Parts: sequence; structure tokens; C-alpha cells
Amino acid sequence: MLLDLVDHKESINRLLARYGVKFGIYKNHEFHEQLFPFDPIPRVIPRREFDYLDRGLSQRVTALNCFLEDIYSDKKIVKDGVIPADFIYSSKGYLPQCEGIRPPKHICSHISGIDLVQGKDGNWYVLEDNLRIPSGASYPMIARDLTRQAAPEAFARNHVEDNRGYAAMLRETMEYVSTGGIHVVLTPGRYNAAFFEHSYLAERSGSVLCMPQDLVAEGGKLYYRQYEGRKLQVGAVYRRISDEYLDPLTFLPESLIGVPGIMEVYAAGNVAILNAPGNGVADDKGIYYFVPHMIKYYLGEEPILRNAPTYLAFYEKDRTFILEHLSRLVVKDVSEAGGYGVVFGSNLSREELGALAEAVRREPRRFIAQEVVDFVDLDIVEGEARVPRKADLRAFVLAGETTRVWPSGLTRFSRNPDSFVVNSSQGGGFKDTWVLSR
Amino acid sequence: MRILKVQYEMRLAFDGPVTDHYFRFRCLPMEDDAQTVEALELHLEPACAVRERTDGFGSRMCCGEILTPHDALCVRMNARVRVERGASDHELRAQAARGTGHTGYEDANRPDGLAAGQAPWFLYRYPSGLTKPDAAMREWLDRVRERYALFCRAMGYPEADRGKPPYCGSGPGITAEGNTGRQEIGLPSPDHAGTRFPEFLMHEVYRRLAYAQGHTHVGTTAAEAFALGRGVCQDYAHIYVTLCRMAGFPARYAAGMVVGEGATHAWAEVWQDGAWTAYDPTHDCIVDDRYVKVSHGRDFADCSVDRGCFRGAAGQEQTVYVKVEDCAAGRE
Repeated sequence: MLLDLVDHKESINRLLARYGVKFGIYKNHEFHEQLFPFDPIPRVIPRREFDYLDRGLSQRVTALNCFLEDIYSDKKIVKDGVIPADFIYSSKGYLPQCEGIRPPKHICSHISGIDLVQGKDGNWYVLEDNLRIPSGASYPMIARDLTRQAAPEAFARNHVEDNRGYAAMLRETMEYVSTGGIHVVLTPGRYNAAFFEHSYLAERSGSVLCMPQDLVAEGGKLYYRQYEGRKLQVGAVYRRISDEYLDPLTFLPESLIGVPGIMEVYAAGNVAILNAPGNGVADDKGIYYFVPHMIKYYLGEEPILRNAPTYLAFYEKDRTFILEHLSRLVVKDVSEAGGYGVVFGSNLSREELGALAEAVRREPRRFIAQEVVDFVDLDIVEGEARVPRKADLRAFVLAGETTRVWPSGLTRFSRNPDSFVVNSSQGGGFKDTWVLSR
Repeated sequence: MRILKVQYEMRLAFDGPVTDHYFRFRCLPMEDDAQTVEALELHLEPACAVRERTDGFGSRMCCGEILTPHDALCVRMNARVRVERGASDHELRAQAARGTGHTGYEDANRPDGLAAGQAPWFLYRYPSGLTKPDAAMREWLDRVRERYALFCRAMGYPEADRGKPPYCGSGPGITAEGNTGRQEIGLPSPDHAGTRFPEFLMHEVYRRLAYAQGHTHVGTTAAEAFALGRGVCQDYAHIYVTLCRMAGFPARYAAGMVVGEGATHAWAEVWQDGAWTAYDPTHDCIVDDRYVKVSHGRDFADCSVDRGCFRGAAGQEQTVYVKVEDCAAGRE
């Protein structure tokens, strides 16, 4: 059934290149744009399995939203001793400037990208929560569009959920939290790694794509300045600029890509910012360990989805275990992202293991260790052959009036047969994700 | 108790016209247990609307913008503030805490007194951009500790507890900077001698530094100023705050005015026995009712009296005039 898709690999990749589906990366301080290679064989998720993921992911994101609201207001979870205060207040993602701000409709993480893998045991494991600016939804959207055109028969024969509804979900989320006015997608500009996505999502969701200088804060409200000078009030900003650059009056004063005054408008409840500034406190790799605890604490439910077995060097018992089993664990530096700062003990020499153990002992708060989850390979097309490669799934969860999982997702694979790291900033490729409709 | 009359004037003069000028002032006296603002006037020139809100640290912030061309901005604030701080508050609190056996630090994983919607005291345990310690500061703190142990012995205070430092809780060292050092710091337990350590440290900092203008600037870090051995109130406060945190005492930077005439002032507050006690290392004294606080935060960057940005190639010059009078002084 998938043969026609395989045949179209080259032509679809050519089209993706023409549409500008690119991924920018910085290497040695230089900006390089590279294509994000598309593999035509989709990941297929049966309906029942997706229903299970849907329940688990919605539950997880609901708890994470409760946590974010709590941390910047009452801090009950800290007072009740569920999460050690150190993990909150020494985290780079905790922004004291956001204390006391109640985001519209009390939603902090509107668009969450949850990274999962399926183990060889069939179980799904959550590897990471991305609650700041998770990117990647546009890639399977446009790839689906193009494959539908190239091989309509494949979709006639298979009952696949249409994934083009993402734009509508995004629009509904923005509408729900909007304080009244137009919706904008705020991009730092075309040299951002995900600029293609910014423009694509703006167009599809009916939002205005704008640069920082198009927005002006005045009298406690936020406006979009049209080219002829007319000002339109903005009710929701889907910003693709990271927290520290968002407002030079609140965060880094040297930021040139921010909107001066936007934080005050937001704090006054006069605009919605998606996602809320300060979310980094909840997607810290150290906080990840505590997400199952959050689910029990806030929702009084058992977590549906599993975390990968994780040890926190902060706890003495875990630290002893980590140091004893270092050679079989994967150690992650909580302050890094994008696949950096991830070390597999099995790849290290005796000296390197010694140095890592020393680092863990010296700064235990900085490291978590996980069992290596032996996750399933997915076939990719390489030349004439099909070869198995490690792949993960980034599921997109949108929180508005309800919390919903997009019935698709970004499947990323490692092109290197020996690597488990699938991040696009590490040169991986992507697949479409089919959720079967029955 | 004192009634203070506070006058604050800040003038920004630009070389040429600027537009899209956004500003955030933190110059209004805070309202807290120690300070009651009885009257307040704020004037801006050119006149423009100002919106007040409380920032994430708990300081009052005035927000506004002037989008049209202008070449100067003047802010005048007049206030009457009743201050009732009591110089030895911390002694009283320490006694009360001893009575209840409650220190506020029973378990660092389960801290008390976390304020809702405000950066809690726990945040002020960690180094910030301008308050990162270096090896020289660590070594110096070690020597202060030795002197402090001698002092305790001489005064007949209980022998310094060489075990667990008081405010570290059960966890091991935490952040990238400084906290591993704290592991070895054997401070006395917080109830008796411990409450005196911040004061002892303040005297030491005062003696270690020389007050001198023109050697440091607003972006000078604690470690840089410490190496220079001199600086202004901002540097004294940064150095003191850094050392307190290294020693296991949560400490924050405080900005405001003090009775007299001249510029704004900076000092520090230390979290002890479940409350903040203010120390002024520049003047080597515990902060009393002559001080009016306008802001606090991790360091100067959280407390800048004026933060702003504008469009225009113009250079700017800022002049500040502050006058604080004790209304009762004349009558005494």
C-alpha cells in the first residue's frame, strides 16, 4: 500500500525544498539553512493506541498547566513538599518576573510538544516535555498536503485522520484565550531556525505574521501597526521569540527582537501570550522527574503515561545508583536542550566515565540519569533499500477550552544507524504520523 | 517610629529628540510591615499617563511611555512615609523563634513563608548575574568564618556547629556556582550565634572595602568590585549579598533612600528566623527608621530606579536628586 509513497520520495522532497521547508541551525556561530529530509513511510498509529496516548497526554498537560499556575501564584506543591524548592528556584526557566501574573483563562502551556518513544516492549515512554516554543507541527502538515497530491490513492485506501485540522485547533486555542482583538504570530525574522513554520502557521491559522517592530504597546494595550499607520488591537500573540528576548524592559535589556512593554500589557490581563513566559520552569529535565507526582498531586489520578525510568542525582540514593551504573545509563545535563548535553555511558572510556562521575558528584542538581529505553526502529527509505532507524514522536497538545491532542505529530528519526538522538538540530529527518481513524 | 518626607527627582536629558520612549520607574516607597505611605505625589514632565503595578519581586513599578518626540523627561516624587522598623527586630524574632523551636528552615525541601505571587525568599539563596562569587571571595569568607569562630568563643557563645550548615536543608549542593562551597561551611546553628553572623559579616565587609566613586559602574559584578576593594553602595550591597548567600543565608538587594540629601542608596536584607532583617554594609549599621525602601530583588538589575528604552541616536544624561527629611527631627 505504501509503494506509491516510496516512489514519491524524491519529488516530495523537491517540493518541500521549493516551499522553503527548511531548518536553520547555527554551527560555529554561522547560520546554515538545511533541508529537513522527509521520509515517505509514515509512522502509523492504530486508533486504540492513539486514544490511549490522547488520554495520557491530555492528563499530563493538564497537570503541567496546574503546576505552572501554582508556581507563579500559591506555590502549594512546594509548600507541601512534593517538589523540593531547589528544583524550582535554581532552575534557569523559573522567571521571578512572572510571579503574580495570571494568564488569561489560567492557561500557561497552550501548545505543548511532548516527546515520546515506543519501547520494544510496546509501551510508550515520555522522554521530554516542551512547553516553551515547541516547533515542528508544520512539517507533517505540509508533507501530508504534498503526499495527498502526489499519491491520493494511498489515502483512499487507508483511513487516516486528516491532520490539516491543526490550524483550526490553533485558531480555536488563540480565540479562547484572546482578550479581544486580532491574533498574531510573532517571529524574530527569517534567520530563525523555524521561520518557515512561523509563516506557514500564521497563514493557515488566519493570524497576522508580524515582526517585533510591528507591535506597539501603548496605554496598557497592545497594537499591531499596519503599514499605513493604522493600529489594530491585539488579543493573542503566538510568539516564537524566547522569554529572555521578549521584552527588553523586563528581561534582557539588550534584546533587539523584543516588544518593549508587552509584559506589562500581559500582566494587566490585556493580551494573551502563547505560551506563557516562565514555562521553562516546568520543562526542565529535573522537573520531568516530578511530572508523575504532579499528576497525582493536582488531579488525584494515576499517571496514564510512563516516564522513562529516571534517577535524580539530587537524591543521595539515586546518586549512589547512578554512580554505580553509570556505564549503562544515559546522563542528561538539565541545563541543555536540543540534544546537547546528552551522554550515553556505554560510549565513554574509563577516563571519561570517571570525569562524568566527578561532575555528577560535584553538581548533583545539574544531572539526571535514565535507563536507555530500547525503542522501536522504523523503516526509512535509503536509496533502493529500507533500513531501520531510531525514531521518536513529538505529540502536540493544545490547551484551550479543552485540552486536545492533535491526531498526528512529528516523527523524527536519526539518520545515523548508531544514534539514539533524533533532534532536528542534530541533523535528523522526519516522517508524517498517521493516526488511523478506525 | 519616624515620619519621613521624601523628595525624589530624576531628570533624563537627551542630546536630541527621541521617540517610542518606554520607561519603568521603581522609585515609590514600598508599603510593607515597616513602611506606611501617608501621602504620595508623582509628576512627570512632559505629562503622561503612568500605570502602577507590583513587579514579581514585590516592588512598586510605574509604567509609561511617550511615543512622540521629546528631548527630556523629568520625574518628581514627593512622599510622606511613616517608618517603623525597629533596629533590633531580628533579636526579638530570634527570641520568639527560640521559644517555638521554629526557625523557618526546618526543611529546605518544604520551606515556610513562600509568598503567593511573589519571588519567595528561597530564590535569594542563589547567585544572580551581578552576584556570582569567585575563588577570592570564597577564600575570604573562609577567613571571616575563622574570625567569627574566635569571636564566638571570646563572647562565650556556643561553639560553632561544624556539622550541617544551617539553611541547606537535606539536599546536597545545588547550583552551578557557590553552593558546593557552602557544603563545607560550618556555620553555627541559627538560633544563637548564627543570628549574629550576618552582622559580623557586615562589619568585615565594611572594613574590607573603601568607599570610592568612579571606580565601578552599574554593571560591575560583586567579584569585580571585591577584587578592586572599593566601590559605592551598590557594590557594597552586591558583595555582602553574595557572601551571605555563600554562607547559607538567603539575602537580597534593597534600594531606596536614607535621611539626608544626595542620591539613592542601596543595602541588603537577610532572611533570618522567618523574616527579613536589613543591613547597610556601606554605613556598617543595621537599617533603622531613617531608611525608605523602594525596591528589592536579586541584585541591582532587578531594582534599577529607572529602566527604559527609546528610539533615536541620542545620548542621554541622567541626574538624580534625593532629599529625605525627618519630620519629627525639628520638634525633638
